[in-house]
Amino acid sequence: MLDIKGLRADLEDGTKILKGIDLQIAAGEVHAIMGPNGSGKSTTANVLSGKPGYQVTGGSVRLDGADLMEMEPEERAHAGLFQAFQYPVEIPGVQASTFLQSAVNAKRKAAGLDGLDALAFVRELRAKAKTLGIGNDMLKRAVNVGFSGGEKKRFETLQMALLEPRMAVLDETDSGLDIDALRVVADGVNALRSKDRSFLVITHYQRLLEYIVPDHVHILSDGRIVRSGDKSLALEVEQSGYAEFQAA
Amino acid sequence: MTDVFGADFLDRIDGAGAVQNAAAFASLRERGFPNRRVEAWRYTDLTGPLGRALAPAGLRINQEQSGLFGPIPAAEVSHRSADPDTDALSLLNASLAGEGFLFDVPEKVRLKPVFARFGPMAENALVNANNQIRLAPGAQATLIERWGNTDDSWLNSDTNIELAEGAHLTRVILVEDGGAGTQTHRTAARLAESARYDCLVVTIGGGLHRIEQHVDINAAGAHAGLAALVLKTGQEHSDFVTSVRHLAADTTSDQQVRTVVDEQATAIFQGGIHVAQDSQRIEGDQLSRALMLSDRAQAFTKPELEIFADDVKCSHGATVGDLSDEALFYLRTRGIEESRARALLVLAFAREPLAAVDLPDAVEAMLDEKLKAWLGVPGAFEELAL
Ligand SMILES: Nc1ncnc2c1ncn2[C@@H]1O[C@H](COP(=O)(O)OP(=O)(O)O)[C@@H](O)[C@H]1O
Ligand SMILES: [Mg+2]
Repeated sequence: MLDIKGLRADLEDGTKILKGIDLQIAAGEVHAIMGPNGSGKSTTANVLSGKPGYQVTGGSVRLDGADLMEMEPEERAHAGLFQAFQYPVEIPGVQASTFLQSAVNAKRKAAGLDGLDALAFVRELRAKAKTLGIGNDMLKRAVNVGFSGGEKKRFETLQMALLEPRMAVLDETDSGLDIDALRVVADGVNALRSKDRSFLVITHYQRLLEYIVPDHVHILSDGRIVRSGDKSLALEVEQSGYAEFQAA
Repeated sequence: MTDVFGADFLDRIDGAGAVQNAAAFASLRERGFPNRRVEAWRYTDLTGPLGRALAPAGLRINQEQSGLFGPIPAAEVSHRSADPDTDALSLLNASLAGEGFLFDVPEKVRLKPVFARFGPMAENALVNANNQIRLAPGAQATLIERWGNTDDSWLNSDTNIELAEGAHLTRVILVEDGGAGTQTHRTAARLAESARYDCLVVTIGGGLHRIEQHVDINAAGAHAGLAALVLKTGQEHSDFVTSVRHLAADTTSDQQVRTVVDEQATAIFQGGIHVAQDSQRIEGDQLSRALMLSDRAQAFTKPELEIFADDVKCSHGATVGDLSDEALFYLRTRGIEESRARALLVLAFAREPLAAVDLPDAVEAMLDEKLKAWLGVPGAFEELAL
């Protein structure tokens, strides 16, 4: 489904961050990327989404065969990519529910479907929000404004549930969550696992991977995948730390 | 004498035989119109409208039925001051105006919102309006004024407002122009004890708009809330001027101005807060934020704080910026196409002054639609009933 080959990316000042990433994720698989702070995990997610400020200097990324790097960020979303952000942006004045409806209908429109009317959308929104413990008052607030760390992560998960992506990239969705919030978010993610949806779970700690159990684990260090394995690799890293990979 | 600014313009008016108040006109003739060397007119050039062949013409007033709102009786108009200190545009108005509206609300009466529309009766018209708003003690009223112009006309008005003890006026001035017309509107409001004046100015389109709000807060407990939304694109020019004078202790004011400029438009906010000596325990806030959607657009803020008392909390802030790239990217990653994402962000910004004034729902909805139409997304982004 997602095919990353030799991906290299620099910052605008020329600093090399991603130094050749290869990663193949088949439909229905969950892959995890672990690595020390600053190794390029968020950069990988951002480059996949098309965030301005990075220069892609080599390699290719295909989602279901289509060249992602040629697309605008919104086209990538329409193609089925979703990024849950490590630091979701606050957008004052834009009501969360209005934003969600715009996103859902933009995606429907791109797929040649009619937009959902307010009633139909609210019904779906309520149902999905409820399973994530998101109440009406949060949906009436401005996007991410005044949300706690946990609320932001749940709101990212709600967006994913509504947009039903083919390929979801979760960037440190566990950071800042206590164990109960982590469970809610992980349950939300697990509910979306299916044979034609894939996940790339980025995390610094293996704790999240106890709840969202990956098929494959990759260690990212200094812009490269230095080791890949199954879920036992996460435990190994937890015990020995990242030092041996950083030295490599 | 002939070299005053606008002499030709005044000759043409005189020639048309339209002058109603000779003393005011003589005074205007003597001094001419303010040019850009006058500090208050530094950013706004009247050369354009003064160069046009405009004919003095009547004012069209459309209003919903209301016994308390109507055309102003001639007697109320003719006693306009010809004081040489009067603003030149007010003198022009005093010279020519035979019309305007009177809104006179008796003691303790609470009115439903009154909606009124104003515009020129002809093309190439110079329309002057002289309006009076009076709220007797304890009266409460909401007035929604919509001033719409034609391409080449000039709408010029003065509105005098007297708010007696405990009176509360909520006012919306929606200044719209489909074309490149000129609108200059001045308000002079006087607030008695515990009176409250809340006014939202919305200016959209137009060649040149200059809206002035002069508020004298004359007694304790009174409050002036001035909000403005300025939406300009193309070659449009807006100059929004406030002067709030705290002439008594224990009074408050709040000014909230939001400006969106696109293409080559220019918008200016000249915001004054004056606190007289002995006016203690004053709170006066002012915040101006401008959003520049193009590199060639311009936004200027000129705050003027004159404070002669000590126990005063006055704040003013001014920001000029563009849309947040982070927010834009976030919306786009959710599949919202760039132009709509931009519209959504501008809409959020531009709605702020609407929230600063407590408006009837229908008025807020009407203004919201105006905004969306301006942004090219009519009917979009409806709030959901949850
Ligand atoms: N937009 C950016 N501007 C400046 N530096 C950046 C930017 N994005 C990433 N970096 C730098 O690139 C490196 C990798 O960052 P990041 O991908 O966020 O790491 P991780 O998510 O693995 O902690 C860090 O040194 C970080 O400071
Ligand atoms: Mg990161």
